[in-house]
Amino acid sequence: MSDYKAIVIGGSAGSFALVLKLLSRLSPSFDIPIIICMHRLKHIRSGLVESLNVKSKIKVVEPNDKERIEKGKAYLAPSNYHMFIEFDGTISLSIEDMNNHSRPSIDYTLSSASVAFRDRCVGIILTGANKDGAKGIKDIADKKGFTIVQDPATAEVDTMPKSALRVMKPNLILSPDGIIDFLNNLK
Amino acid sequence: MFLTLTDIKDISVAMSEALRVDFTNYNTSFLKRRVTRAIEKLNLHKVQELINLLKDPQKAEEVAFLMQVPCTELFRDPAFWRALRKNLTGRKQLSVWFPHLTNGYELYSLMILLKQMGIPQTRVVASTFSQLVIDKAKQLNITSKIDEVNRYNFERLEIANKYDEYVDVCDNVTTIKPEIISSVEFHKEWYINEKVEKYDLIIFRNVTLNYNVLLHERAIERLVQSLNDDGLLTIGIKEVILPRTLRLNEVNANEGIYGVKKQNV
Repeated sequence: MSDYKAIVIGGSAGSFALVLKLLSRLSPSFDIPIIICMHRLKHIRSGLVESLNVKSKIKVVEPNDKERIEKGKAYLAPSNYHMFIEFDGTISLSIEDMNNHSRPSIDYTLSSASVAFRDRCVGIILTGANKDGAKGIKDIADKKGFTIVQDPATAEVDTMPKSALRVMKPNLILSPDGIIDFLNNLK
Repeated sequence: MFLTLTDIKDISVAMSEALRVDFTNYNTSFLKRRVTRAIEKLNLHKVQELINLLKDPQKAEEVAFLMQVPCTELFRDPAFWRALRKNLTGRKQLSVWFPHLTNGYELYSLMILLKQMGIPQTRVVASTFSQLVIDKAKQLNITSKIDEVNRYNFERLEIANKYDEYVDVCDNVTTIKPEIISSVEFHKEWYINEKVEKYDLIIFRNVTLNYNVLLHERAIERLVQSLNDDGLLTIGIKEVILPRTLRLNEVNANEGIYGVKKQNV
């Protein structure tokens, strides 16, 4: 069994298809919680989680505030809320100001995960069109968590992975298929 | 600036004493973010400087204001306001309480909705522990970006053609007409400390997000005491009712609208 308490993924432009592919190709017995923060339209609050659940091998939920993180589930940051991981293994939400023009902010989710899980966290940055997430994945690396950045050459928009690579050196730079294989080998 | 758990504890105790609000039961990570932000905005460098500042009532006011998480637009979550409109239809009159006003957007939203629906208000009370929140609510200036969002929300609420009736534009500054809230009674008090009075509608959205479970439960219990028998309590769409044993009925749980459960006689 893996020592990791959570996989935390951030992505923006182009990341929906990638997250869908990743969730659809996970082993059904994959039980490490996956926490996903994707930039999304703030006025459209339904549809995304439903679409992911159509193909995902594990259940995807948009958590309520103070919801406990459970094994075998994926948690998607709700539209127009920041999502944080707390020390007690729960999720907290917030409507505080946007960060990097984003709510949810990937930096916020990843940074809070770095504090809550320290070296028992895998952080992944996918394709995206702004620098949100770079600080968050650096925080995970600084706490000795395992970090992966999508290979910019395979990204639909490479700004986000390139921004991450400018501020930190990840453990791995992988293609989407490489990320999926990595996760399935964690179990 | 890096804040330790001891820093957070010391500041929350100092703020609780200075502002008469129980910050010791706010969510720790929220406090960490908000206090860090306050220290930056006030150009301070040490935690102790913030604690010392709280001894000056005028500076304490600034800190109280910086601890607020404002709602950022009129009719945020149009689906909620649509659901509320549906649930208020048929009411002859209404008393309303905003226990935790943060900047006025929700207050204006409700007053506009009630005007559109033709529902007279017997009383509207807005409570906050920050005088600056009250002052700013009475003069709510909006940026062009928020103006755009407001128009979009009005459109989604199908009252788009009415937006311009509710704003004044002067020297390129857009202000929501203050007369919309002229009948509102403002209380500078933390709602938990207010004497219990009854209301038909309590708007309390996205406030418990900043609390730990203990304060969350205390807050909801206190608000239920202030609900009339046919009253409605509204919370944010991603908040839950705690404790779960409370006598509350799901009127529209998806939109965070709850009513008082009828007791069997």
